[in-house]
Amino acid sequence: MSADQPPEHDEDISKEALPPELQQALAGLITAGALGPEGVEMITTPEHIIATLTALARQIDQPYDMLTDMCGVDQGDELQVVYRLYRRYSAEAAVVKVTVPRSAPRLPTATGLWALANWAEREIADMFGTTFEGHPDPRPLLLPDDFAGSPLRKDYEYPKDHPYLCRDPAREDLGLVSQSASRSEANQAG
Amino acid sequence: MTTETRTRTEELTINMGPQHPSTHGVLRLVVTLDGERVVQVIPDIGYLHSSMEKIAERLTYQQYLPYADRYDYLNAMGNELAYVMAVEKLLGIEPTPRCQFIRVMMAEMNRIASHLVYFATLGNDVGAVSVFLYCFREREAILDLFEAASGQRLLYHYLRIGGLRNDLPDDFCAGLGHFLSYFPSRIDEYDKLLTKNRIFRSRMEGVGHFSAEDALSYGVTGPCLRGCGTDYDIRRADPYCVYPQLDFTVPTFEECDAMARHLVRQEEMRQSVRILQQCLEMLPEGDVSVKVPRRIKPDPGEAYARVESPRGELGCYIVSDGSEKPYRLHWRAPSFYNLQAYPVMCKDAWVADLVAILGSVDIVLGDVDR
Amino acid sequence: MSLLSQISNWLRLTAEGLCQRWGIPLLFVDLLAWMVAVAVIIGLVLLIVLIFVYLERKVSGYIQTRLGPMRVGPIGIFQTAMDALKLLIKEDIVPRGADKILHTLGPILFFVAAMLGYVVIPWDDKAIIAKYVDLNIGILYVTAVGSVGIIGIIMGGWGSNNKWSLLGAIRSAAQMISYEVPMLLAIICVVMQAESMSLGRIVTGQQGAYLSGWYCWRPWLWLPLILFFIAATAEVNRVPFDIPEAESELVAGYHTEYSGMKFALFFLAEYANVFVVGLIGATLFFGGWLSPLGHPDPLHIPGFFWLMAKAFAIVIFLMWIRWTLPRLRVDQLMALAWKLLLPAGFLAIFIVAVVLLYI
Repeated sequence: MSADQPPEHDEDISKEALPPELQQALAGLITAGALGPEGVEMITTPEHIIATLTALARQIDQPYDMLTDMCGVDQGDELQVVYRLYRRYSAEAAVVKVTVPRSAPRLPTATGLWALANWAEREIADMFGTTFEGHPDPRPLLLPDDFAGSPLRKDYEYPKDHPYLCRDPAREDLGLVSQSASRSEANQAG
Repeated sequence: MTTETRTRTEELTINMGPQHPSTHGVLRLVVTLDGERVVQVIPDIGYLHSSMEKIAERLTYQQYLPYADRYDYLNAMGNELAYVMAVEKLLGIEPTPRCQFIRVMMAEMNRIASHLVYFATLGNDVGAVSVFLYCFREREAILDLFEAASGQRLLYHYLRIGGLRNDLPDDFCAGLGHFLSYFPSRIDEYDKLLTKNRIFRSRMEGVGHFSAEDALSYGVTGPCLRGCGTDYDIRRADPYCVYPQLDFTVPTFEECDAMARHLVRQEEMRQSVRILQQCLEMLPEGDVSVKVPRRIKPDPGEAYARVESPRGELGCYIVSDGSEKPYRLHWRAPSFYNLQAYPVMCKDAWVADLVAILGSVDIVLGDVDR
Repeated sequence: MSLLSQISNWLRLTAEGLCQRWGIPLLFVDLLAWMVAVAVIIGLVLLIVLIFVYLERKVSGYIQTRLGPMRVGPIGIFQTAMDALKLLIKEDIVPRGADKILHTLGPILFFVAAMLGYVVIPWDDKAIIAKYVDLNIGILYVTAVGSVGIIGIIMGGWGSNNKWSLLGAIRSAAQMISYEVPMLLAIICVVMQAESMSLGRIVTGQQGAYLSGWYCWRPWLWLPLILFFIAATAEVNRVPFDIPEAESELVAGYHTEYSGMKFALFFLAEYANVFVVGLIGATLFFGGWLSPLGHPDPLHIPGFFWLMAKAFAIVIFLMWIRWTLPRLRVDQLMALAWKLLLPAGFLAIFIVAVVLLYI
């Protein structure tokens, strides 16, 4: 467990690290690829994400045909969506990352490939404000229908007043709450 | 002369939940009925959403541990295990062998406790109320053991990054051994009382059919998947801790119905007993914790750790930016994806089947909504 | 009992004398007598039901490895009384949009129907409550008033303006109508054996040395016995046939929207109905008030006691079933009634007829 550190997803990842079979199947689709501790990792673009996933799931000998999870990550200027694929019921993972610009976060949906993507994409849309084009049922899933904002983005501001917020008169001023939080951080740092 | 006397019928849309006795929490099902037949089910979730992932971004790695307990409250030890495994991967720490064994023991005991709650609530859902209390009697014994080890009965906060809160108390192994000595006979009792009951079988067999292909597409894992005949268990497929050293079987049933899922869980309890007995025999001496810096600052990077929770594949994905707090933490929640497949299982079901199938999926709403 | 009848005669004479003195029509005395009888029945029934509910909670407690009520009074004997009191003084909530008249009438009708069944029960050889009331069609009357209760349930379910209530009421109606048929077929077998529909005659027909005369010992009545108890359990909506109020499916079925007094009426009437099943079952198959020790009872134990003992034994058996078995699904329930119990009922009648004619 300790031996293999997860690779840092920086510049030095190159497609050449991938197995030849994958390189061939994914030619022209991915921008970077690497071998990680659990399997292959690759980065692609929104235009090629569905083609990449299809290639991984359908077009190689031992396909990565099991999508187990999707996760959004706020990477500053860009929003990242991480697809975690496995070879069917095994430990060999393929992690596909795709970044979309923060200003126009649009992605094609993967619901045509896996039914799992339905709720996973709805959750990411809730939390990050991304749009999955072609999604069959793009209603909010976890958040109320009239919720404003994307709570898991780093720049999300807690609303000062909201019908869903339970207002505690003693902590009416939300600034007070964050002050005390920063104080406890200072204590730990010191 | 012809007279038309045709009865006008309508479909009935009905809200099952969020306040309903058998939605196991606050789940809302929008059900369309044709008489007693179910035409369509749409789960509506989010009533228990508690921002588990956002909270992580505001807390240090140690501070988040108690929250990991709270997210799937029936599998607190398993959640902690997934979380500490992910953090340890980030830090590159290898826990001591004794710690690994104790972690496995805790996870398996929690699996039994969780399956007992499943048995109890399923019995309640199909109308066999007494099963509930029998199962809670046994669960109580496990909770006593947890209390002895961690001081807590539901949300333990026992596992720590790099080890455990404390070593096991002196009489723990004896107490666990005693529990393991009589628990298999109790499983036989439930088998007689519930599983072999003709009414129960007629309620569960052939109900909630769900194929292995659907399971693959929906990412359904855990007993629901093994009830489709697929032999997939993270403990086997992607072993962690000391599972490779232990001898146990992964029960599967081919019938793809609610009964198959039920039988898988019943058999899993027996296998957990086997694992625990082996752990008691093999438990090595030694420290339970390795030295971990007070301030945990992993290098930038990411880690994903997954364990087999009683409900399926439970994953914890952490992205670190080199600070004291996780940059992003994501739970791969088994109940969330299993529940997504619920409408598929409810095709052509009766109203009464809805609760039986929901019971056989065994969701925890804290796990679904996070 | 003779003392009681002396008292009642004296009371009646006094009342008649007073009426003559004050110039009130004598009809009034009859009315008064009837009202007293009604009050006695209701009081008695409520008392039985309170005991029964307490017993159910205790028995279920022992079945479920717990103690049951323990706090109110010694070993909790006042628990159900306090619960009933609590229900009676609770706020009565009528949901918005409910049909107020039906919502109110439903539980009343159900309760009245449940009480009516008790009128013809032969409590004792001398104390068939209305001495006028050993109806020659007693058993027919019991099943008839038993079915009136369905109307109350449907009223309550429809009037609540709640879909779960409506579903529960519909299920209840379907179930009661279905299971009345096999129950009546089973009863007909007993009637054929006793050659009377009067409950008093059915009991006296079972006289014999000790308990040898009871109908439950006659092999050709075993099938009706089983049929009767299955169908009667379904009639009173108990597990495994409790689908009209299946709490895990329909919240609480037809009484979902009821609270306070009206809920108490439903609740008490339901238990009263179950106890009627116990009483009728004891009367039809287990000798009613006949003492198992011989006739007349050598210890002078009143027949009332024996009837109660038998009825409670039967309801405890029903409790045992209730706390053990799961619940059937609605289609399985209907299949059981029409595909299994109904043919079995006809078979039972045939068997009894053959036996009575040729053996």
